[in-house]
Amino acid sequence: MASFREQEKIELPPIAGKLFWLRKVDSTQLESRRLIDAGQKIPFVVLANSQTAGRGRFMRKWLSPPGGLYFSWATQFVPGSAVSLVAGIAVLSAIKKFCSGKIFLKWPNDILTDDGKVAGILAEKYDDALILGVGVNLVGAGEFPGLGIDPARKIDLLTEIFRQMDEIWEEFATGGFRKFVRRYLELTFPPGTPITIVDGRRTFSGVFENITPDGELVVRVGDKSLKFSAGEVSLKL
Amino acid sequence: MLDNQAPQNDIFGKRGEQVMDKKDIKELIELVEKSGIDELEVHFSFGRKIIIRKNAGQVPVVMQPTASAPQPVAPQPTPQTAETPPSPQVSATETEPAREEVSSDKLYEIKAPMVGTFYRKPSPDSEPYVKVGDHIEKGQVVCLIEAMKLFNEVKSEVSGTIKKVLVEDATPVEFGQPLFLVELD
Repeated sequence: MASFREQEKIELPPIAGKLFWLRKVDSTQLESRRLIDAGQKIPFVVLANSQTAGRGRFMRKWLSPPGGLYFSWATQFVPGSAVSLVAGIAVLSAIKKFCSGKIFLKWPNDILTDDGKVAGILAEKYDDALILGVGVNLVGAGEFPGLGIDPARKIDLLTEIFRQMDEIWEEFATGGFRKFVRRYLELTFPPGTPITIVDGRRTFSGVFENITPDGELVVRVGDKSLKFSAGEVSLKL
Repeated sequence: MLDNQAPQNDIFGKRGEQVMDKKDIKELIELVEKSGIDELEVHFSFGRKIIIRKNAGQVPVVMQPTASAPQPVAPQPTPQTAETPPSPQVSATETEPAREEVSSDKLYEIKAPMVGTFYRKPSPDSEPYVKVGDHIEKGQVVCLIEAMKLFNEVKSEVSGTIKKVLVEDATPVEFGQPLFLVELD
């Protein structure tokens, strides 16, 4: 297990649980699994200044140089897949308090500016726990766009993300995604936006229509409305 | 034709017309129940088929295919006329025979714990979690199911040998759909 130190000084909202702050780790997701395996009680947060093997969907590498916000939150698993959309709402709502400009959600929970993806969220079920991995490019690095948030404000952003989580999590855990559809729609691209979705091996082109009360994506393809619970969306800009 | 244009509960003919409804299927079940046969398999176009099988007093109906997310938002009032055949990978899944003797005590089906996309490997370049012939232990991860970027590693509840992979990689699965056939130790 990577060495870590528990931070006493930082006070995150209670929903976050115990904070483990590491200088460097392979991946905060993997570290969270190791902590659970070692008997650490949830909830807890693993925060890392940099990751050597940060990953996204399908183990895609998530470049994690110092200066970004990289953390995982392990908490009680909430049934229903819309958990990753709710996490997207919390993270983007927090980011919007730190920077202006056009920032939006791309279903299910990528966070984009016109320059590209600036934050990503991965949700994994691990036994009875849900491990949410969040990576935010505070500043750009090379070809990767950033939000232009001063890295010195990293902990402020982390605190704000958990403040947002605190506001919405219980309502989601007890009432589901239904009540969050409107808020999600305010944070994503408008209905009518042309999109392409790759669902497994099939590709559909159409226009974004809606989000269902379960968090599924509704796309108008030809004269039909199709709903998707999985798939990768790209915007036809 | 998109394979999701056909409602799940009906069986369609070559041009998309409904050739059997629930009542017909019910009659078939009754027929098998009363007869001396153990299994009846009826084939339709698009690789769709119905298998009715007697199993320890129960008569389960197995309809292929079961995986066809995305679903139409509203039920389709009438089946569409099929202008084009389904895509090759879809028909490959559909014609995949899934008719093992599940009644055998030695065989166990690992089922999907959630709706989503089934992945046999952790990333596109990785080796599959398990292959036919592999011996697996209880608690071992056998596949990944994703829905809305929530990833769920599916762990085997049994120890045994993988006899068959019932679903193609990177295709949608329904809740409770059998994924693997395992011969128990």
